[in-house]
Amino acid sequence: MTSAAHSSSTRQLNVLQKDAITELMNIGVGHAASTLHTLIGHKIELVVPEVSLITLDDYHQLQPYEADELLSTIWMGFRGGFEGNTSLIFPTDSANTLITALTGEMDDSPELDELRAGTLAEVGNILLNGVMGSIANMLNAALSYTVPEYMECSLLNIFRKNHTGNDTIMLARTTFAINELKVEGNILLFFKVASFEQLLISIDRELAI
Amino acid sequence: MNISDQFPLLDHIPTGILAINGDAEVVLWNRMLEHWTDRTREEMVGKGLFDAYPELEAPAFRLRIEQVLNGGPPVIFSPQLHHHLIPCPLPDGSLRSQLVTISWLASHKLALFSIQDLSEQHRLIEKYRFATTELEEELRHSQLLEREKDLLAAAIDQAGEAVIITDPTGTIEYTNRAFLNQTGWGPDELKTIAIYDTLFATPETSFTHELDILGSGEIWQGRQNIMCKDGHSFTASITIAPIFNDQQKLTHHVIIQEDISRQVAMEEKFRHTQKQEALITLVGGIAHDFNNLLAGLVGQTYLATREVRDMPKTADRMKKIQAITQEAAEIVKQLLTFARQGEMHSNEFPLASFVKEFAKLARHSVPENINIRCDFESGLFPFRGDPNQLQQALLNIIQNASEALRDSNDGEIKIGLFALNPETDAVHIRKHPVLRHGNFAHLCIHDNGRGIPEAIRERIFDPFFSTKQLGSGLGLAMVMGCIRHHQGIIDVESSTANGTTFHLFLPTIPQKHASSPAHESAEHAGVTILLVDDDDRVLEPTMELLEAMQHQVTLARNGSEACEVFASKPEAWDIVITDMVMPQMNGLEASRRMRKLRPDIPVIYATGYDQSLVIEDTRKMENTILISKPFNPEELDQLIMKMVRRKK
Repeated sequence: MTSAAHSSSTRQLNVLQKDAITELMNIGVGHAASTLHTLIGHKIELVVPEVSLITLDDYHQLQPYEADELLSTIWMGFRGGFEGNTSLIFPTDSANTLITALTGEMDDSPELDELRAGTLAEVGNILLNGVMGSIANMLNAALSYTVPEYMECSLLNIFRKNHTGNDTIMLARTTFAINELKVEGNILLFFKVASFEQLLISIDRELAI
Repeated sequence: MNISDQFPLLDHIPTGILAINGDAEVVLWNRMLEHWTDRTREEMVGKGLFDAYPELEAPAFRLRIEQVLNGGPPVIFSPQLHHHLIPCPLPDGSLRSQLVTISWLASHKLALFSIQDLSEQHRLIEKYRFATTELEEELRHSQLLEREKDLLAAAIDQAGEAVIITDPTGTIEYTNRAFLNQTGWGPDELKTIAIYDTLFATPETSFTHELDILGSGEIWQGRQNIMCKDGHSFTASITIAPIFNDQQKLTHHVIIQEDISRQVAMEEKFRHTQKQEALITLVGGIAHDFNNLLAGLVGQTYLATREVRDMPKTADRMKKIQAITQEAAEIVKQLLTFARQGEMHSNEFPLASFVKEFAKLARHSVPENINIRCDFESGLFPFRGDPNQLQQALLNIIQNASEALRDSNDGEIKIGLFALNPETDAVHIRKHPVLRHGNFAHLCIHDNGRGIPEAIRERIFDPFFSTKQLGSGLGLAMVMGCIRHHQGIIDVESSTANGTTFHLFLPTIPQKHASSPAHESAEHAGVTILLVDDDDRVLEPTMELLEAMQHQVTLARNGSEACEVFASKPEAWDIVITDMVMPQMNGLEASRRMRKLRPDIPVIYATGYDQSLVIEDTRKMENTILISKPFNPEELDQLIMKMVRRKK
């Protein structure tokens, strides 16, 4: 995975903190991958998460997606001890393949209808809950969540949804792949700067860094 | 605990809402759910969710529900993966398709279930999917049909056979390229043409009967002359099939037409060749028998002449009989030439000088008012053949030309000799593919006479066919036989406007010095002769004839007898004269056996019925000569003496 973080704010995370967040993400994604494996029966490959501080201008560095490429996205907001949102993104053909693998129903149309979108929302819900449930448990944080939402939008719009102006946010990102199905997706965790310090405190406290 | 009263609005939304507390007991059950499940709020509130719906005990449901009850993130159960969470029957017995979202309501410590009924959307989506699939299938099918149609149209348009589609009356609606190429018509010119009344019609026939056949649903096949735009016609093989619509009504005819004019020409040529071969066999057989009779007649006449030397009147009549017999022999010789059975004395000679000499001869053989012009390409054109036979054949053509120019004031005969030219002789090469192989000289004789009427053009080479009052009908038959005998080709072009041209294509050989036969004078002395023939009418007069020439003659009546006689004293014989075709053992085999005893014995084959192969075999044998019956007694005597002297 290519680094998305070249902002000067990167320096605000020391190596230990960065490793802790990476580990946090890694455990959460690992839990989610295990759930997905149970669901579809195929091996899930995971790439080590990357943690970076980014601004809106950095969205184009999130390769391999094109800026205007239509992506299938499941989005869920959270607030409480720290605030942000988490997204699962797939290229639409990967989303279609995944749904076909889960339901056995073929559909080559590029856009998902409501039923197939509902399926993807549930899959995203399982994965994101796995990530967020783990993180909340590990950090002993009481979080409240929005109801997961399915959207088809570009990477730029996903970034816009998470940025106010050109502020800096922390992005933890991991890529997973189901090679047998040629499906690839990304799990993105955006933490708003306002809650960033609180997150670090929670990490310091709970993980004793 | 019943908290429904705290949320009255929830009874007025088209969503099923239920809530459970931390012990999974139902605390809220809205009106929509009452309606969907037929379970009342009173019945459900206070009841354990897993007791009311035991199927939710399954880990896939229970674990995720408990996750929410523990304050975890919301959980979604999608209709495609689970169909429903709370079974809600529809009037038709099926269950409502549900999207269920479960969220933790921290303020009330409740898990709130929001149940959306997606049955109608599901149905519509399925219907849309089905319609889309059907449409896509229809589109694919339509594209496939379109491609097939295009392919079929291209195949028909580019097919080698002509394809025509007409309405039932024969009015043309479609023609492919092959038809336009074959007939010379343009596509727009055919739109108003009724094919059966015009293109297929001839003065002799109409197409009415065939149309009746097509009307009854049968396919018609046959040959038909097709009229082209320029007025000429050609023979085509035609298949016409009726096309019926779904109501079994005849709507069109499809006509497949193949130009078979070349095939017809080949068939005609084959038929003509068969006829010629039959004539050749017939003529050859008659000539052979007649020749034997003549041989006897010549011998007897010769002897009778000697016996009546002192009776001048009788002797004179006998000489006339001899002369008439020789004329008859000449006719038979022509017949044999036609039948390719006559004896051929082959020599190598340059065709160029031969034709030049012939042209001089031709000048003397036609009336003075006919002009003879020559056009000879440079070159020798070495040739192997019988110059006498060839000269006779050319004279026959010249005589015919002269006859055609009888009433002409500006009569002219052109004699030309050229090398075969692939461009200018293309018509002949196409007609006779053999001309593509080997080298040929093209000898042509043209007259500007009245031409040969088309009606008789095919028959001019038939023996006994003549338009002249006193013609034997053998002249051109002999020409045909001679040219074929020389492995040549003969073609005739003729029209009333341009006269007649005979094209003779003769195979030339690699250039060598042409040989000329040496003339040797005979030295007369009596020799011992073994004379073999199965026909007494030939045998006896020939023996008397030879004896009259001071020769000693011993007779044998077939090959076997000859071998026995010869073997009794092989050294006693100076020469053997034998017939070729005999019962028991033929002359060739008999002479081979005799040569085993006397390899140097000279042999004369006297025959009127030789096969080409046999002739070829005799040529390979040394000191052997083939002569035709009837033979001239003096010439035979000279030949005997020459061969005996050569042996010595």
